[in-house]
Amino acid sequence: MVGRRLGRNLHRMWRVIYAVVGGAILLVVLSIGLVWYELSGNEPETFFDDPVKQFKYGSTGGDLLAGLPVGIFQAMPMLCRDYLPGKGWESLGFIYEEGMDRPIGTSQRHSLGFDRIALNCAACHVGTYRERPQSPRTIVTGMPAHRVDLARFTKFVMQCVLDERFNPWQVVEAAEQTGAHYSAFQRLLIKYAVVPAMREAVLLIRDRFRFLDREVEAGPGRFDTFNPAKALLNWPFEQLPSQESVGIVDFPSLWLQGPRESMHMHLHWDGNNDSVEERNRSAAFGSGAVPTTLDRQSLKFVADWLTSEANHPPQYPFPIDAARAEAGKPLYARYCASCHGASGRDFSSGPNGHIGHVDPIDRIRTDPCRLDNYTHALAAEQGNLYAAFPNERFSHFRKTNGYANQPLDGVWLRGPYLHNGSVPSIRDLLESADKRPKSFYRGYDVIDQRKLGFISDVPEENGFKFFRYDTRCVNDAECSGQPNAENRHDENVCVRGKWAGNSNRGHEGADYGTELSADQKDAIVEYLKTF
Amino acid sequence: MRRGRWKRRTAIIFVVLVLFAAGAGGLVWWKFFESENQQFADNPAVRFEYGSLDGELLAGLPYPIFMILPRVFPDLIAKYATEGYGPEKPGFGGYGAFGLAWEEGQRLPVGLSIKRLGYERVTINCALCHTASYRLSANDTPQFAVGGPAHTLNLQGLLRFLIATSHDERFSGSRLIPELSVHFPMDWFDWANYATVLIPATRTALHLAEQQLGWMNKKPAWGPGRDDAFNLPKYILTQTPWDDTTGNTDFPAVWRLGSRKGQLYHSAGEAKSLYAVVATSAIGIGSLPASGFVERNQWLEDFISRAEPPKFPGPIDTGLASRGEVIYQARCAECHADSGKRTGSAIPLGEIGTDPEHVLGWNQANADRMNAVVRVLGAANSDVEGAQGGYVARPLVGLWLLGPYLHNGSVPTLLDLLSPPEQRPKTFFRGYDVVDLEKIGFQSTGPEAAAVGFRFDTGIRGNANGGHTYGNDLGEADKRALLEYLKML
Repeated sequence: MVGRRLGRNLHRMWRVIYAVVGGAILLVVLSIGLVWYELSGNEPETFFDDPVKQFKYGSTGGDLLAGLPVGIFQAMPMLCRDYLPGKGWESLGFIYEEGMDRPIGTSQRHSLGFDRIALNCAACHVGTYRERPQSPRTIVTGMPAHRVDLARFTKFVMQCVLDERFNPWQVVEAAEQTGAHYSAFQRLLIKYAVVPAMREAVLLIRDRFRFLDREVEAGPGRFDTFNPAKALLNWPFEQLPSQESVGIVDFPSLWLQGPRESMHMHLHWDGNNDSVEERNRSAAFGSGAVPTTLDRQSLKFVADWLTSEANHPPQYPFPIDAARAEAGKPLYARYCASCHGASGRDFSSGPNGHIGHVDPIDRIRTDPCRLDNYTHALAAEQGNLYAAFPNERFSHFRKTNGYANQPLDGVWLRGPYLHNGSVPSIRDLLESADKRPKSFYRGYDVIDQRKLGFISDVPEENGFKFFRYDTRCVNDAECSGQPNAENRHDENVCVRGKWAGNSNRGHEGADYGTELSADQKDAIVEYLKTF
Repeated sequence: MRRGRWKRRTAIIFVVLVLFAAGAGGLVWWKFFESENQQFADNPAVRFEYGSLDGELLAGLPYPIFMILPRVFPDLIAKYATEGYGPEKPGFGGYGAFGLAWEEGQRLPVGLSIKRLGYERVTINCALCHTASYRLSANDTPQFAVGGPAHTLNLQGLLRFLIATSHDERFSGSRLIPELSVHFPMDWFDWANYATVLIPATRTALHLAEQQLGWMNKKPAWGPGRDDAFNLPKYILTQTPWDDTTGNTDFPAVWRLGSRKGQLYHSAGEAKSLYAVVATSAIGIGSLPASGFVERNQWLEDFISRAEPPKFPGPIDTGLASRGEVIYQARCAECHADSGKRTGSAIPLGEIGTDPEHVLGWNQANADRMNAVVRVLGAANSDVEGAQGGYVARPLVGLWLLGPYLHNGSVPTLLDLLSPPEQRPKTFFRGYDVVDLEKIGFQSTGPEAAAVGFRFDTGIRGNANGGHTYGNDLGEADKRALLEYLKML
């Protein structure tokens, strides 16, 4: 009797236990399923009908993991406005086009529960120019983004994310104020996953990018391009020889990659790689695209366009003095063509020409810091990058001993000149270094039609202060006691000092046309407008 | 009826178990043991540089883990790549920091092979210790001479680095897997595999290596370009108890060894056939006598029989050199010319007078013990000998790249070797790769070498720089002439 009742009770109890356990399992499975559903999905925004648009707004894959949720990206300039030089992302030089709510050079992708934004190639390779201060800006694809201050962008993101205001509550609030709508789940994610993860990531990046604090300020249109590779490999910057510490260069133009590829030109300023495809993937690291996240479809599409004939610079839109240009043509042919090619479209440089190849540093004698910054040890270790993908592994990086001669297509849009952007105009470049401006302003986009380049003596516009570029110490009171205040590099080795990397010396002497008459120099400038 | 159903059930369970076991076995085979041959496009030098000796099973480290270690442990690279060196020795640059010959565009330096056995595994090969790095001036990028002595290779530092990583808390899935996943696509199996098998197993393997190498911390440092050549097999392969010997020896060149048939090999004549040298060296780095062992050793033997050194890169005064040749014939040829009466024989310690430690550390009993082990492992024709009471007088091939000189690398340049022992540098710096085209050897004194070189002290046990006083009595002009001729060898 008793036994039977106990048995029935036990039976009932087991039923309850089964129900509870089953319910719990079901709940866990459902929640996992929900989280899975929310976090899965990988949909980049694409513009495969329009290569230029894909270049400007398509993804390299950096947004997959390293992208910021759209609302946070839009909110940051407001949330941390005191860390910016002006209003919005525009104040760092980013360009907005009509019809797009994010700047050129950003991509968007739905991944890990959010629409996320990251930078792409166009951030550094789309620029603007104006005819006069009152004229509208013309946006040029493939042109160096000479107004974008990437170093300041990097610092701004670090400052903002580590700021007290960047707490889960204010971030959600600020993001929703920009018009973002979040589900309850997404709000939880932002508060308990995104914000802590961003802070963690920024701490890592701040540490790895500490090379920024060890070199001169890059300013707009420039960035250090191979110290990030060392950061990726986690090199101890404190232990690098001082001549290897500075690697700041101008953003280059990206036009006419096809001829460069077919002529096996040495790419990057020091010519350390002759594979366009490898160069693209190396640069993509800069947008956060690592081997396992690279968007190969998008990058291939963009690369095909970059090497196509459609990717060429615009013609010079202002008047050209035909007679003077004609006078400049033979001078160019005599002094410049063997290194820089026959014209802005014809890159042949004659039987003894070496366009696209490296000129030894003891001949060109320009600032050696960027050259010294790239070393055999780095070239060798880069052979490990993309190692999991046999057809993509880096195998073309080489240590060189000088800077590569560039073709001059669209040279009128490529100022300031030299690899470190230390000479504001072509006309200045045709003077010997002691006559070039010791100090000038970068970031103004009004074309200097006389000297060719951008106007560089205007310190501010509508309250926005331009970046002052010092090629050496220019303020006497500051100079005494500064090592290498004159920023000399007579042995063609990078010399330590506050202005290291900014020298405007070199590319001078009779061979480089700096000893021609003023008329002859003007004629060469006029001819270069046709490029 | 009932029994039949049980039978059927048992059969079904059995079949399911068998299928499951087969599947698991297949998975294990695929993920851990399926091998893939390396391709070297019939380029023998490249095969020598990067080819596997099939030591993956015993001594292979997972390539992805190996590749990222320097990025996870830059502090340990800095520590172990600079210990004993000058203040400016770079402590960065991945494995290149240990002086390995790293060609631009390669996944890993020369001497490291990557071969898939289930997963890609890194092993070392002959070229690790037998590829010389050199530069003609400090501004050059390094050049690599296949078969030359790896005088920059800090093998001990490299081993210490690897061992140190395995004791570090960062050597765990939580630190390594995120780093791996940046570079290697990983599915759920890979995550689980790294977390539960590969990372713990690699850590354990490095702990085992540490136990086997513990003796080296009680003995004088190897320094770059050297190892304790016969204590390694004595203590590890034959598990002989650690004793009080030290046999630090320079990595030799493996050029034109075919000219030495019938002579003694190794510094102290520890082998009588080139095949035995190759086979035992291969076993020493984890290559087991299995299928392909003999053929590969024969291929290696053939390669190093014919490998040639690069020519001396500087100008040679042929008039002076021909005067030097006369002196060479009179004073050196007996022991060093191919046709020399004593070339390839062991010159007794009492006569040669160089540091005796290497000879004293390896006797016939050691050799017998090793031969027994090697035979049990299944290798034939691989007998070694006890040290022959002195050091082997070698034919001189690629002499300009063989510095520092003598079996223990205790004399930095040939000019120093032609000076009486008391005038030879008592300390100098090894491992700096800029050649000294005047004194012949590598630059090993002066501020540049001192800044980045390893400080070599001839006063330390096994490092004595005495003996081999031949030619010390020559006049200055005769020495110059002789040096000029020696550049051509």
